[in-house]
Amino acid sequence: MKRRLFHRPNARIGATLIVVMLIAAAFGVMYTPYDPIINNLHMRLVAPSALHWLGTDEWGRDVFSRLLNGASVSVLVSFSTVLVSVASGALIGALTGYFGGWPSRIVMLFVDALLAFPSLIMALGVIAVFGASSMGVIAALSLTYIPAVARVVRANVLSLREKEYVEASRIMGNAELYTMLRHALPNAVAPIIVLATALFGWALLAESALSFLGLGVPPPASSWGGMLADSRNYVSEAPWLAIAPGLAISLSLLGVNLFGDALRDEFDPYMKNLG
Amino acid sequence: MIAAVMPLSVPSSQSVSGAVLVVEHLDIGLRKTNGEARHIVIDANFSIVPGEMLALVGESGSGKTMIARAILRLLPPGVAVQGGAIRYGGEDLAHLAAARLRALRGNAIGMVFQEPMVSLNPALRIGVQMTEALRLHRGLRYDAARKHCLDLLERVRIADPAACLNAYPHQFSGGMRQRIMLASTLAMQPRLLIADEPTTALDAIVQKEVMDIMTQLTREMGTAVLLVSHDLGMVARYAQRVVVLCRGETMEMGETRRVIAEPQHDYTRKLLASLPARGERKFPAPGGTPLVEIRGLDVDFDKPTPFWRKRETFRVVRSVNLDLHAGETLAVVGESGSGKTTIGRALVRLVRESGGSIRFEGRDITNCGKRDLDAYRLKSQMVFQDPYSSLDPRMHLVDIVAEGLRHVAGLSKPERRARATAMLAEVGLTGDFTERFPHELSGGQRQRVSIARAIVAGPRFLVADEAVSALDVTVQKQVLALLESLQKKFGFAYLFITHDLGVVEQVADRVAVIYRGRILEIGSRDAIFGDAHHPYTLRLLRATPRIRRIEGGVGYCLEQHESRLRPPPADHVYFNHGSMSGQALSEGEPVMLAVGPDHYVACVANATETH
Repeated sequence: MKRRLFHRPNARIGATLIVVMLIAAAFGVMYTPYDPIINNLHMRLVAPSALHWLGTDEWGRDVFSRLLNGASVSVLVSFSTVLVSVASGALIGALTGYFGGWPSRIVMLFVDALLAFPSLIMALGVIAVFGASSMGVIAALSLTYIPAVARVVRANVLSLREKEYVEASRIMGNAELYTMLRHALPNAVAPIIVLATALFGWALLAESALSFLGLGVPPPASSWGGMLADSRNYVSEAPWLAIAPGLAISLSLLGVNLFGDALRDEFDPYMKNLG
Repeated sequence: MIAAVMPLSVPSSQSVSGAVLVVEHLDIGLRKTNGEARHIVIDANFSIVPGEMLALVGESGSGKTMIARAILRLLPPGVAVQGGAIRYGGEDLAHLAAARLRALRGNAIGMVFQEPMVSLNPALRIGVQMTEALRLHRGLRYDAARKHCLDLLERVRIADPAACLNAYPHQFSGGMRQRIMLASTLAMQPRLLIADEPTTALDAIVQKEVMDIMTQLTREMGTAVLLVSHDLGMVARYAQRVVVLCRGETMEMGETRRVIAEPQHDYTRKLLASLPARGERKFPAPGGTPLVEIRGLDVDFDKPTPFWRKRETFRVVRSVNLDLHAGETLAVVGESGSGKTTIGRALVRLVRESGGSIRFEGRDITNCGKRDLDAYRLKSQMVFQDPYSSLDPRMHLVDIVAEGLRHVAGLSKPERRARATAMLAEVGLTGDFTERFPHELSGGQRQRVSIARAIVAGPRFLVADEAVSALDVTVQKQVLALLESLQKKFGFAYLFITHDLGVVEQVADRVAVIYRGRILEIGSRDAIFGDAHHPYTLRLLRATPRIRRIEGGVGYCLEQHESRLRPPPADHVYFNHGSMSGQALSEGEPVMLAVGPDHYVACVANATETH
């Protein structure tokens, strides 16, 4: 299956962009050409040059270094968000879908209520409670994405529950929880993976948006959204300040979306037959 | 026409002259995106004259449906006619301009599909859909078209045609919808009707009604019919001529009666020999304590109600009594919705009963602790109908089978795998099958895995719910033989749930006939097939076309069911809760009266004679 996946051009382009982003994030943690946090007021707003590949910002910090550092923050936040929301959403969806009954109705009532909330506004509320930090952002975004995951997994498990191999497992005398974890949930993995790539993109964007609004990772730590926000006042004198994080966000999103599309095509039997 | 032994390549000139449709040297192929080509139909030749029904018969993959679809150019993407001609009234349908073809489709050439549930648009009233073609092709006004439709609905024996036109498709059963489809297709008085498995989704009795109406109307109108079917029995009953297909090639063609009486080709013989036939009676009349005793079993299902409403139920199984003896095969037959599947599911504890009891080896399992239930689970197993959804697609075959041993105490993982491998070999899957995935197998092979999983822990009985219904006849024969040899070797009992009376006749020791949740008649196989009492049993037997080997000969013939209606036992009438249409419904509970040794029929005391 993997070999065929990478026959798709969008899978290849997407994967390349994602790998570049991951490498940048790794560098952001381990090595940056300059310290991304310490100010150097002699070198304020220097245009891109051999010394500073992407120029410097209004505090004289190297934009390239801050971009790498921001990548690690963005990737960490998005990845944790996807992990938390998929894990808890899948569990809620699988349990309510498999067991049904009035407890699941009540749980899904809350899930639907969450789904009805505009995600950014809910994130604002959660961050107001947890405070602006990477943990706060992860908590806020996870909570907004859980309903989507729960809905998708529940719908799949609802139909998988009626499959005859699930019934065969129950006839064997296997415990219901075992049957759910062994036979129902693993067969719902394909849509979960596709959804997870989409969530990764949304989380990346939402983290940038929150940082732009000043609710993300607090300064002086760098983040792409925060850099974009700070660049607003200097757009005419130092356009590189806006272009660098803007391009970084756009290209990462493009990569994630292309890869997600390719995955979806691969998993969706109808799309596959047409290809 | 000397049809039976006629050379296949060129249709005789006689048949071509008056024919509605002539198919000549038709080749259909699939072209894949990577340039590979595959033949689907090779050199098909046949013709149909007005008022005649010609059948294309074959197993899945024989190309029969592709030929039918090619005529209307409804082939799936990638599949195309690659040679030959489809002549219809001087035109070649294979190379006709799209606009001209549209004028023919649904006008001069009608089509009835397999699925009556999806071939009518659920959002439109029947009247709108039925009159659509008349208004489009004939330019009739709504009133005139409506009158024409009323007339046809009456002819397909819809009770209230005017109300039918105002109703939506979901208000009708599958058989009624197929009749409505037939009426709306025939409203155009087409010269050619293509019927692709028109009754495969219907129960035997309904199938007979629909086919009878179709034959009668098309004969009256002089419509030529191309019937596509896998069911040799039905083809033998209705089609005058038949084309036997296998992997796209025509094996044999000719008058139906001749083809089955004197099959010329090996494949036709194999196909006919695969049809279920009455076997030897294997099991002596049961005595002693039964293995499973079902007493007064009631099962209720919830009606879908909003959660604030009080729970409402309807009863799908009503006070059923059944005994299953060790080593015997008990068949439960009935149409869809009769509750036959529910009895099996209650037996393996997939549904809970609302009343009655099930005893296994004398112990009540409807009301027992977890330990007893776990022990019972090892003794009872089930084989499912759909070979495509009964195996977990993510597991290796050996793991699927080994899972059946999870609850057998004291087995290590390697031991479980070793036993599973041995069991796969037992069902005929030797060699490198263990590490394969279900999607790599054919339908018959999957059903073998399903059987291996069911019997690996050594159960006492198996519930086989339509276990061979989804398989082609040749594969079906192999799986039935496997089930029988396993029964001989391991001695388990089968509860065989099916709608297919042919299979029942072959495998069953005893037969229970069930209708809307109640058992109407139960007896030995020979008693039911040879001496049926209840009118419903008789109707069921008569509706199922069966092909029988001519005694002493090589050929086969269509069997007419001969047994006559028997009078009910003295002072009683046969119990009727809808199974005998047009007669008064019985009141009160039925009693099962003996009408022969080990042969019981549902009756009620005759109320009219008491005064």
